[in-house]
Amino acid sequence: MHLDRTFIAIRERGLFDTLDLSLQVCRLHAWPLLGALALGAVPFALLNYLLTDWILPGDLDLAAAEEVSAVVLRFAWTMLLLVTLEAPLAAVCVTAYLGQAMFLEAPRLREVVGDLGRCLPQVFWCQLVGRGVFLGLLLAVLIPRDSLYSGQEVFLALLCLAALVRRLTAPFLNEILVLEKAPLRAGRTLTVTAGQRSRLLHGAGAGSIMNLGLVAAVVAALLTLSAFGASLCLRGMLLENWSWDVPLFRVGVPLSLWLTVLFLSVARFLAYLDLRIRHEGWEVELRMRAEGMRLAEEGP
Amino acid sequence: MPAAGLPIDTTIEIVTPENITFHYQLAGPFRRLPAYVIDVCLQALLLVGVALLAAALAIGIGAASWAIWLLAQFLLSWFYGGLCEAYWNGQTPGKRLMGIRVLAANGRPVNAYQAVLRNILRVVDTGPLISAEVLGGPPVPLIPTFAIGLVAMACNRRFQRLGDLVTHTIVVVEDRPWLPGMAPIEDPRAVELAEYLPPDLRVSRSMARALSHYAERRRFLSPARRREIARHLAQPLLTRFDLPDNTSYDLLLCAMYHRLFIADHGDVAP
Repeated sequence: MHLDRTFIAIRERGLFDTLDLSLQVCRLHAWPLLGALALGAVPFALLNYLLTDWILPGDLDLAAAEEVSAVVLRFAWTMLLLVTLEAPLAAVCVTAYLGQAMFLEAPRLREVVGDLGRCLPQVFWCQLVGRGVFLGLLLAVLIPRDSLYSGQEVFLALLCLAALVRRLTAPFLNEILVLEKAPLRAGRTLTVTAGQRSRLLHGAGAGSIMNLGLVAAVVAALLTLSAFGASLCLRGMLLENWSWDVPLFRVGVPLSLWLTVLFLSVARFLAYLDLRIRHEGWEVELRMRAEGMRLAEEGP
Repeated sequence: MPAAGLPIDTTIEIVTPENITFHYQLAGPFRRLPAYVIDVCLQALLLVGVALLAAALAIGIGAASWAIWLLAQFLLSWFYGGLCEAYWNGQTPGKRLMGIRVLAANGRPVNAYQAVLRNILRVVDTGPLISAEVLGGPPVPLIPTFAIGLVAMACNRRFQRLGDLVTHTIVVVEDRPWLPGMAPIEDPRAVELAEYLPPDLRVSRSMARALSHYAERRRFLSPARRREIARHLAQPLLTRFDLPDNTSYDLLLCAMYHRLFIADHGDVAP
């Protein structure tokens, strides 16, 4: 492994450059990235399917139903909240894959999962409990099915908002836990804990992180709408069917959301690298370490 | 992985027929989007202006003012981008504000034919269009998804949408990269330490590049971080040069930089 030979050119980048580069990375590593996302996202997608099945049941005829827009919007909104909450945990394999792919030409998903296994308890603890994924799922289970609006839904929305704010101020938690392998507790050693590392990293680039978060939110909205629109169009052109129906929403909405999650996870990884380059001279460190290793190999 | 094992980047190299190499940073969809939004807003403002003018003229020329408005709408929607790019050397007002420019794929300025055609073909890139039927309207494809343009740009290294692929154009960022000169070494101890280094000091090209990179970036790093970074290379070098273990890692790398890039080049700063 050559530390100064990475699959992405290591240099400082602007916000738009990072997003554009994410597109290139998604194209060149499309299949492994989709595989890595599927590992985390499929269980959540199935869970979401079960949790939202009652809002938009498969046998509902949208053409004949009253208050179609209210039903569809409620389904899309609940799905959006759930996917937003679950996204960082579902995309943890994507982060692990990208971390390995930086230095290895083609890491296998099995290796990625093996490497991830060691830090998975910390990730589960921080994301599932700390960032409210478990609570969100619990609230989704408790939504009463006989009323159009409920307190649980309001709480779910507030929880999602709180998670987004937390993510806006400290978005690189996955990277700290999975790539830097920072422990949650230092124990008796002088190891930097995940919390300390998070404060150090996110404190250094608070302004740029906030900008990235806001732009990412706009990009996410546009990408999701574009992907959903394209799926609607494809179905319309192929099947000559331009009407709203249940399968379109049950498949189209989550698929568009998860594809956006994949793109944003890649963008977040690249933003993490950029932050480390800008504030910690990470690219210099890689070069120093690579040269040091070459010297050590050459001998005295 | 990209061709020839090169790392993925958003920059390209263009070699002109005169054998001059230019490096350009490409503008992808996300950098181009704000420029497009600015241009769309400007077109809308112009249309509102023409509509007001047509309304004022309607008293004098009657229904012909409606024709003026329709003509203006046609010209603005189909030729605004093309004419701007043809006359402003590959820029529209939005592109100028965002610091991007359209170039021919060989690095030459874009010509009028390319500018107009790539803008006319934009309509394809905004597709597939969703039928207005989904909103209860007539069966007319009306609502853009921009998915064709996005997929086209994602599928090639130069972020070319279909209009760019047909007309052989690219969109580049106008930022001029900041080229650092010789990194200043302020600490006189580094110059002193350089004298203790072996007189026949020679390093590999990659190490010279690493030292130069370190000297250029070290002033943006805290002393603790400098030490942490420099340790990886300085520790084996201390052993090799037989220097005391308590020598500052940062100082050693600065001394080597001074020796290789300043002293041995006779370019000593006063």
